[in-house]
Amino acid sequence: MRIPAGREPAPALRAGTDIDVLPLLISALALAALLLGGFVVVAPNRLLSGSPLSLWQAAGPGGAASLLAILGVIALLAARPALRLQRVLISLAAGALMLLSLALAGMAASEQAVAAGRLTRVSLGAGFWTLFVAGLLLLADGAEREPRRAGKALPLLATLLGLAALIASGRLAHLSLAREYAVRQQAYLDELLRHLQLTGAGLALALVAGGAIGLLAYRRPQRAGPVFAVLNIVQTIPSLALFALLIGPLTVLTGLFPALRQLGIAGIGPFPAILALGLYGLLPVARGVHAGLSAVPPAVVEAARGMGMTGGQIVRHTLIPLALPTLLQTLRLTLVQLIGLAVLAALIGAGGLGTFIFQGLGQTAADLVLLGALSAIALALIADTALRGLALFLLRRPAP
Amino acid sequence: MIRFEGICKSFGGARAVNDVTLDVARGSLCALVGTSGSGKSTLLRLANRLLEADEGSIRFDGADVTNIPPVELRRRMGYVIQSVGLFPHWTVERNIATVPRLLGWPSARIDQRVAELLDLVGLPPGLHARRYPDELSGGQQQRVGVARALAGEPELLLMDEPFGAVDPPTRRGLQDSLMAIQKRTGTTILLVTHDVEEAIRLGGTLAVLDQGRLLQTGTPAQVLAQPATDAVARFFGGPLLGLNRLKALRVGDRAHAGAPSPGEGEPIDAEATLEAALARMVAEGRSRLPVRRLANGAPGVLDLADLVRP
Amino acid sequence: MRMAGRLARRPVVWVGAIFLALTFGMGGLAPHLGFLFRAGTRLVYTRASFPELVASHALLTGAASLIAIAIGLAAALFATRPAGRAYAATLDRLGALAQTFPPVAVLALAVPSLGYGALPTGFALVLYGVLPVMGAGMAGLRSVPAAVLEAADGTGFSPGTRLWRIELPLAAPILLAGVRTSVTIGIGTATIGSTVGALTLGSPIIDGLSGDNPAFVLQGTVLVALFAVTVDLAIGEAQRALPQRPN
Repeated sequence: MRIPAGREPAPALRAGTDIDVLPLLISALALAALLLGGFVVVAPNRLLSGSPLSLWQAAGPGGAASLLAILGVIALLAARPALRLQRVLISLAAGALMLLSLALAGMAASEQAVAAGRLTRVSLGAGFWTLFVAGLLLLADGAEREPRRAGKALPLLATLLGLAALIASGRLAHLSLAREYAVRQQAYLDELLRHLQLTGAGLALALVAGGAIGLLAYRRPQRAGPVFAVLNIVQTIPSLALFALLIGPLTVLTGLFPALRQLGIAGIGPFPAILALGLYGLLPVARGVHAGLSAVPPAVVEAARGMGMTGGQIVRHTLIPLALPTLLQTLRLTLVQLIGLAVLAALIGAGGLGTFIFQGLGQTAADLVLLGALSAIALALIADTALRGLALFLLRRPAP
Repeated sequence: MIRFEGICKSFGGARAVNDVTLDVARGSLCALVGTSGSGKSTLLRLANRLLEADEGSIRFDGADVTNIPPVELRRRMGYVIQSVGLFPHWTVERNIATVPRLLGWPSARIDQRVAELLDLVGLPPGLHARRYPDELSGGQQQRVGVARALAGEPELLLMDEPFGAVDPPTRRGLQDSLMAIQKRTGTTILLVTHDVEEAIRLGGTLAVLDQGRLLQTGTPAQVLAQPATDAVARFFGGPLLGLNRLKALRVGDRAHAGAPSPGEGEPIDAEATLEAALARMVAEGRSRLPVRRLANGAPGVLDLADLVRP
Repeated sequence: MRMAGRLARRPVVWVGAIFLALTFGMGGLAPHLGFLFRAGTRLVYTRASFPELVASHALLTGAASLIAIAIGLAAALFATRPAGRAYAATLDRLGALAQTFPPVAVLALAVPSLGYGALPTGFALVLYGVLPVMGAGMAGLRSVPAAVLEAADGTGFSPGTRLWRIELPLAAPILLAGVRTSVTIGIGTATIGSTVGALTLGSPIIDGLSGDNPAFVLQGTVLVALFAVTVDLAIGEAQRALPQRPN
C-alpha cells in the first residue's frame, strides 16, 4: 500500500525500451534447451539410466511444430506492449506451453510402451523441464505484473484446470512418474496427508507461540532484543540438526516418564517433527508479528485511545487491519518454509513426502525421488499462490 | 465545563504538573501555553484520562472524572493531536464517523453528521468524503482530524498542538476556521500550544505554564500588559513583549473620535490589530490613520501616540 | 590484558572454543559416552574423523558461499546501475520464486543430472546462497539516500569511485546481514547434503538415523549446531566492527 521509506519505487520495467525483455529471454532459452537437450528419456527399466529422445523424435513433426509455434506467439506478444491484454495473453500462452509439452511427453510415453514393452520407462528430459519451468516463470511474472485481479487469476486457473483435465484423461499414465505413483497410490495419498498434517501442526505451534512472543516484544520493547537473540540462535542451527537434536532429550524424557508415550510423545516420529517445525517457524512468526505491530503509527493508536476506543476495539479497528499486510506475508513465508522443511521429517520416521525422496535416493530410483520432490515443490507453490491470492483479496482498497 | 483542582502528576520522580488549579468556562476557548516540558500536554491528557493524576481532582460538567469510565469520558470529549493520527486504512468519511459508530448512531444520522462536518471544516463532501488520508494535504488532514473530533457532538474539544505541523499560511487558515467553528457550535475548547502568535490570535483565555506550575491566567491583553512573572514575560517575547502586545489589541481599543483630514490614506478597520496599524504607519510614513467605524458607528482616528499609551 | 579480558567475554570466543575442543576431542570423548545410550550402541563414528568432517563441511560451504556472494553481489550491482535497473523487478521476482522451492527437493532433483556427492550439494548451496546476498545487496545499495548520491555526483566523483567510496561503504551493514543469512543457510543446506552423499557434519546424523545409532546423531548435531552458531557469531562480530551509521 505504501512504499517503505528509504526505498525508491521500482522503476518501470520497460523504461526506455518498447519490448518486454523477460518473455523473449525465457522463450529463447527454452528454444535453445529444446534443441540441445532431450525432450524425454527412454530407459529399458526402472533403475537403469536411459537415452534421450529429441522433441522431434518424441513428438513427431506436428507436435514439435505446435510447441515451437507457441514459443513464437509468446515472442510476438512480447514485442507488442501496446496490446491491452498483452500480459494475460502471454500468461495464457505460457499455460498452453506447459500443458502441451506435458501432453506430448505423455503421448510419447504411450507410444514407447506399445513399441518397447511394459518394462520400458519414459521419463521427462531436460528439454521438457526447461519448457515447463519457462512456462511457470512466465506465469509467475504475468501474475505479478498484471494489475487486474481477474487478469492475475485467470491464466493460473485455466492452467490448473487444464492440468487436472490432462491427468484425468489418462494421457499421462505411461510416464514413469505416473507409474511410480500408480504402484503406490494409497501410500502416496497417506504420505501427502501426513505431510499436510505435520506442516499444519507445526504452523499452528509456530503461530501460537511465535505470535505470543511477537506480541510480548511489541508490548515490552526492552525485552525484544534478548528474545530475538535467542530465537536467532535457534534459526541458525541447521534444520537437519534441529530435527535430530530433539531425539535425544525426548528419548530420555519418555524413558523417565513412560506415561508420556501414551500421549504420543516419543523420540522419533511425528512428535519431534512437529516440535522442530514449530521451533523453526518461531522466529519468522515472532519477527513478523512484532514488525507488523511496530509499523502501526503510534499517533493512530493514540488517536484511537483518545477517541474512546476500548482495548479490543483498538486491536480490531487499528492494530490488526494496519498490520495485516505484514501478518499475511509472515504467514505465507512461514508456511512455505515449513512445507519444505517437513520433507526432513521422513528422516526421523515421521513420514510425509520426504519418504519418497529418501526411499528413491536409497534405491537410486530417480523417478521416485522426482515424485516426492515435485510434490513438495508443487505444494509449496500452491500454498504461496493461494496466500498471495488471499492477501490480494483481503487487502483490496477501492480506487479513490 | 472542566475544572482542575490542585492537580499534580509526576513521571519517575520528576514533577510534570505541580498543583494546578484551572477552571475552563462552558463555551470558552482556553489555551494552555508554555515552553516544551512545561506540563501543558500532560495537563491536557489528564483531562480525558489518557493519564491519571497523582493528586487533586478534575471535574467534568460537575462530575469527578474518575467516576466516569475512561472510554465513555473520551467519547464525550473530542481529541485532536499534532500528528493527526487519521486511520490510514479508512476513508475520510469513515474516519469522521469513528465516534458516532462507536456510540451506535443509526447510519442515516451518521451520514448526515459527516456531511455537516465536512462542510463545517471547509471540505466539500463530494470531493473528499471517499478519499483516503494519504491523498490529502497536511492542512486537509488536520481539518478532517478536527471534524472527526467534533463528530460525536462532544461537550469539550481537547487539542494538543493541533496546527503545529502545517506551514504558517495554512495554520492561519485553520485557526480562522477553528474560531468560526467555535462561534457556530459553542463547543468548549481546551488547546495546547507553544506558538505565542497562535495563543494570542485565538484569543479566549491564556493559561501560562512553566515547569509544571500555572503562572498566570487571563486574556491575551491582560497577560501581555501585566505578565505575572519574568518567565511569563520571557515566554511572550522578552524584550519584544511590547510588539506582541500590539497583536493582542485592536484598533478599536485605542482609536479616538475625530474627523480624518484629507490625505491621510485608506481608513483602517476597527477590528484590525494594532500590529497591522503600526505596520501601515511604518510602510506609509504616517503617524496617524483614519479609522473606518468605531464601536459607536462614528469615524475615528488612530495616532502613533495611541499605540504607546499605557 | 584488558583487551584480552574483553575479548574473552564475547560469546563467539567461548562458543568457538567449545566447538574446536569438541571437534578434536570428540574422538577421545565418544567411547566414554556409553552410559547415555542403550548397551551395544557403537560409540565411535568411523567413516571419517570429526576434524575431517568439519574441514569438508567448511570447505564445501566456504567455496559455495564465496561463489554465491560473488554472483549475488554482481547481480545486485547490475540491478542498481542505470543499465540494469530495468531488470531489478525481474530479479526480485525470480528470487522470490526460487525461495519457494524446498532445498531438499532441489537437492534431490539435482542428483539425476549431477550424480551423488558434493556436486549437487554445491549446486544447491550456490543457488540458495545467491538469493539473500542479491536481495540484501539491492536493498543496501537502494538504501543510500538520493541526496548523498547527488552530492557525490556534484562533487565530481566518477561512477566507479562513487560506488567504491560512497555506495558500498554505506550499503555494507545491510549487505553483510545478507551474507550472514546466506552463510547460515549454506551451512544448513550442506548438512542436508549428506542425504545425497556429500561428506559433511550431516553424515553422522544421517548414518545414525538410518542405522538407528543415537550416538552418531548426537555427535553430529552438537558439532554442526556449534559450527553454525560460531560462524554466525563471527560474522556478527564483523558487523559490529563496521563503523556505526545512524539510521
